[in-house]
Amino acid sequence: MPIPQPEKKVLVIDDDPFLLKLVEKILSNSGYEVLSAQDVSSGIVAASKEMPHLIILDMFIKEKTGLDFLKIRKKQPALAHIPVFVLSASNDKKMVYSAITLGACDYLLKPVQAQLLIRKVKRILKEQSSLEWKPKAEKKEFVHATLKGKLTTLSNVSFRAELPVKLSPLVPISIKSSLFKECQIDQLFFKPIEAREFICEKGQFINEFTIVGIDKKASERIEKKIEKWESK
Amino acid sequence: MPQSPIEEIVSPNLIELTISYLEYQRKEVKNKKADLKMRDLPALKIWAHQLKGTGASYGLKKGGKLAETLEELLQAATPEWGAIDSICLTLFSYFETVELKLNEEET
Repeated sequence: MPIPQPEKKVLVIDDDPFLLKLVEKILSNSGYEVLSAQDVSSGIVAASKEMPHLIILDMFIKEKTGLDFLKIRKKQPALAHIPVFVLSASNDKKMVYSAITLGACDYLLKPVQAQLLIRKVKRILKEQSSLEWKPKAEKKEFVHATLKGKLTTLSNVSFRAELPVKLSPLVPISIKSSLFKECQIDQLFFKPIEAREFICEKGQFINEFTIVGIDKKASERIEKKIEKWESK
Repeated sequence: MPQSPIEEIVSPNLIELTISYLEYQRKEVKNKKADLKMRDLPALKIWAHQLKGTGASYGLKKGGKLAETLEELLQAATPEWGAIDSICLTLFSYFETVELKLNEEET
């Protein structure tokens, strides 16, 4: 198995020292630098100090839960971009939904399976460090967005979600609009600017999109159309 | 009546960690017997939950399964202490008798 880049740091937060030892062994054998914390507070401190590339989070951590960690992380801009995936023995649906809603990018059930864990870590880190985004419009399963909104300029797009929708900077969202149709474009592809996956709640505005995969001529047609539309 | 040993197949890569995990759990049995006697539900819940996740992660599948059953019993609105006593005793006995065997496919 190819050894990943050695500088990738993974922080594991779990109150069970034996689970920490196990995950540390699995990941360090695969070339990752592993840091650990046994409670929410020291997890926040370690994340702020070490700025890991990924956080693996348990759900039941002594007197607190992984959800407490996710809430704190969400409020701290320095930490909000670090992907977190949950590794828990709890398959409680409410817990899973809450974790994803609070920004966890994945939820893996214990017992730990070494190969699966390594694959997950590798995939998330690859997505995180991927600089070149490629539209995957042909993959219909990636198109979930039910959004309504308006396009004021090509760099300032505002939409409101009609249903909760999972957004990811790596996954394209196709948006159809009568405006695009007038410009002889069937649909446009957008990606959220925010460098992590997040759930957009029903009714929530999302105004941080960039348009991707659009050619220059199409771009000019839309810009002209917007100008006309705004001057009305 | 003497218990027949339970065998668990573990990864050779994890054998040292698994042995130290088992040693720890064997010591914990004494504390858990006291928790059971005191009907300390929160302490037993934490133990069962951790055993379910961590024990099985070390390859202790049978122990993990017992812990899963125990956790389900402990989460009931009205815990059935008879069943909880029984599964705890099975788990205590498991830790006293379990034998580790290396996974030959990984050696």
